[in-house]
Amino acid sequence: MERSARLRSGLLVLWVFLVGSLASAQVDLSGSWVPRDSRTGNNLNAVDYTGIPINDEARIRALSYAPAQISMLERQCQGWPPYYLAIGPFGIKIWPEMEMVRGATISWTIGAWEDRLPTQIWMDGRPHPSRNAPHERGGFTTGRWEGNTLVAYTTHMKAGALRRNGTPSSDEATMITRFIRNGDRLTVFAVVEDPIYLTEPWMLTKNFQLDASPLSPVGPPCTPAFEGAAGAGRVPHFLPEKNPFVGELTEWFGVPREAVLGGSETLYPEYRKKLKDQYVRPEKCLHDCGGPAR
Amino acid sequence: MTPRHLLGATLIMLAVLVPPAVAEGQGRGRGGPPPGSEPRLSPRQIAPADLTGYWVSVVTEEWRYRMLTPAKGDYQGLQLSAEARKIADSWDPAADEAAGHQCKSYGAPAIMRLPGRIHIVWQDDTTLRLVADAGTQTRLFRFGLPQPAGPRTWQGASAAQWETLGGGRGAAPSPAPGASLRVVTLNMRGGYLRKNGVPYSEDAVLTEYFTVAPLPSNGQALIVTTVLQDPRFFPQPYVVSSVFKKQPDASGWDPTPCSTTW
Amino acid sequence: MRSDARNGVLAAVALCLAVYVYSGGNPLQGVMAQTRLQGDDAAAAGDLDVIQLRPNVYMIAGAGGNIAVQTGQDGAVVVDSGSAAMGDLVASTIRRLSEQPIRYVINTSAEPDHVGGNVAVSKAGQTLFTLTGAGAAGSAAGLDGLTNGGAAAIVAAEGVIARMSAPTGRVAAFPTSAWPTESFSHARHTMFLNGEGIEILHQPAAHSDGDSIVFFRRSDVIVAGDILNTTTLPMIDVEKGGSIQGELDALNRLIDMAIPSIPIVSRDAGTYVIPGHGRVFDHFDLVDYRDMVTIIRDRIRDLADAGMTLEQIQASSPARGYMRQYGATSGSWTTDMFVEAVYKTLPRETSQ
Repeated sequence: MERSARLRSGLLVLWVFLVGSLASAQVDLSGSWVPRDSRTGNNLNAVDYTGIPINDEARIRALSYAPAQISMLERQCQGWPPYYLAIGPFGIKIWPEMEMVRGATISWTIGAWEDRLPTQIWMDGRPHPSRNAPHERGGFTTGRWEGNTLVAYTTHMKAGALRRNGTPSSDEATMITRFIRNGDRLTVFAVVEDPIYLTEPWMLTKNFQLDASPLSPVGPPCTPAFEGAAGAGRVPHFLPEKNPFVGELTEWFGVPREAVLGGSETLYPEYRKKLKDQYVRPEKCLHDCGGPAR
Repeated sequence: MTPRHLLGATLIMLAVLVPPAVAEGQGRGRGGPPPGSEPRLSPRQIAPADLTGYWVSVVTEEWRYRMLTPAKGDYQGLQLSAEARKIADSWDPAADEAAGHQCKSYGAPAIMRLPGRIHIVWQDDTTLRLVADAGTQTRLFRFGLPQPAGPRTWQGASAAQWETLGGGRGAAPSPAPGASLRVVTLNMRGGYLRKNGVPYSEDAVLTEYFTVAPLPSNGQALIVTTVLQDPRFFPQPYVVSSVFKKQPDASGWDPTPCSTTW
Repeated sequence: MRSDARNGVLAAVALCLAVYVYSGGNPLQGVMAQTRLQGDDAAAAGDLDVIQLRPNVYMIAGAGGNIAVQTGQDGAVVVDSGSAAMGDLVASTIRRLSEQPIRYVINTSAEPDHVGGNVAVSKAGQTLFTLTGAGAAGSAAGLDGLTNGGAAAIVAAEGVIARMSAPTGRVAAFPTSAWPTESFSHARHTMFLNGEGIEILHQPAAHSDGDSIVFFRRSDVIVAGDILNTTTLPMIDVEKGGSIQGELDALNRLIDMAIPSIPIVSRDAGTYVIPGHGRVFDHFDLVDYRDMVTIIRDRIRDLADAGMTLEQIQASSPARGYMRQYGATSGSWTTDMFVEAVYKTLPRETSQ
């Protein structure tokens, strides 16, 4: 082969090699990821807004929430918005959808739970739907890689609850989720913004570990059944100032009432100065202590 | 296009895109340069993320276990061995105070979970220094050097490296932009994972991942994922992530001494 | 040679940029900066926002009230027509969606932002009525009158034509060419077009006395009109016969009609509900909205039963918790107006 032609060929091969090696700063997220997170409790009390930067509107709505709402026939199969991925107790199955010409990833899908729809993260640059479009239970999510981190942006979520005690989120909430893989560990870092109910972004984390046992990509079917909640046209709720559970966290654990009701101020170290004068540590644990029955 | 011009175009592309990858290879000691050639790049020089600065904890999870000292015997959600539960159930802060163990709940496995501020700087090109105002604790993350032997301390001895994961076709692994800092800490004194006496032993191995992520409105978050392996007290590894927000300066910096009760 | 050198440099720069972008380093700041919503582009271009809900059912937003369009071989069926100023644009938008002419315009109420486009949209269409055979020429004038000059028919509940027209000697709110050509007084009016049944259901005393709900049965799309406004608290026009109980009855009826994706909850499916204003809803969204209205009603009733006056009730903000998203302190429909409408039309029994 002529020398210049050989040089051209060699340079072309070099270009292809460099493009291939430099353009693939991504990781494989596929597999079954079981929850490996030691966070406590999932805040089981009926009135517990600690750690959430809620505003007054959210607080009032939350205080009006009666747990019996979840027993309403119309709500039993409602499920959670996509941010429940970072709150709920289950593992996740992740798989890519790929086109078979160039092998590009069209989307990553995070499988469903019994009360959370699949999250499909579109990687093909498609725009989010119109403001007037329906909000599906799974929201609408697009994604891109930042180095080895998959960054997903979710809009069009439905209104829901940040905690099962009815701390509200609106249908204007959005979420950025980062999937950070370190070895066989996956850290999900979610930032929820809600112009209606939050005064600043709410940050959540959850940790998973890759496991050989396959997780199901779908949840079980849901069939509503009468559970004794209020009849047609009635909505269980508490009138203003009438929530009977407001003092529970204070009574059980000594948490000052102001802190129980949440808010941005309570998230930062400075708030401990206020707490120090108000908090009396209970002599010993009497409720939800963990471990075997004592 | 002549081969000469094609060569020129190729060199332009190489000059723009390749130096970070080559520098990482040198910094990780891969195939080290022959004596007398260019010096290897330091961990500081190849850092794929900037961890330096002031960071404030944002307590959105396990609020009452972190912002308050819980009651004795409150370890809900933690899987503890029987021995660990016995220790937790007999927590005596006054005894800790008398024994000079005020900082027992400020050790490396716990310090990142306490509300407070941290300040991270490069002490030198191979050492990151992290100072926490809660308990005025200092941690040193050393890159690539053997850990010094010596007495056990609350903060132990930490070995750091930038995480790598995979690589392109035919390329050597290198820290991608935004990669985490992996820190493994040994040689710790046994301490408290929570302020109410939930223990970890001196046999514990602590692995942490420090990851920087942008936040909306030009902010930055630092996510610290803690993996504590301590089979004596925890049948399963203890895993949590703690979140910090970057501050522009030292506002709110509030060094406070260790406390057994608060 | 010079050109070859330039081309080589340009090729290298282009390839560098492609590699940079492809590998995740994006010149734009962050994921959110890249995100645009469909509809934003349309709005910027002065177009309407067209959302396809089913293969042959669309919602058009941005012309006043929301508009629904069903297309097919029988011709387009349009529910509401937007405001008068947007009528031509609505008509041209529908022409892009439907190969066949507009056959029917169905009005859900007599609100100007729902009927204002009637003239333009119906005139852009074509009546199903034709005349053939002997006597066709002599009856043409009568047919013109019946069909508004051969335009598409306009269908609505009787209350709508009553609002749009006027007693003799007064000025009608709308020109005659905008009035319904077919009105009905029964509770359920039906058609079968484009392969599906279409129900027009009179819903009394909700937003007003002339509201209708339109249900495309096979497409499983409900058009709710101003019974449902997803951007404000419900508009209850007391003077036109609206009431809080009627509004709640209407919302509960919509909930009964809409079916969510159960038992298979791992997919998004089910009935769509097009509101008079705002985004498309489904069953779960309706439940949230209905519950909000119920809770606020309960609060107002509790205060009224305790003897508080309207002004005292308004001052106590019974819509707290929902104000930021649905409330208003100014404009054509404020929170205080809603509270007043509820207060005035509350049934006075004390049990739920």
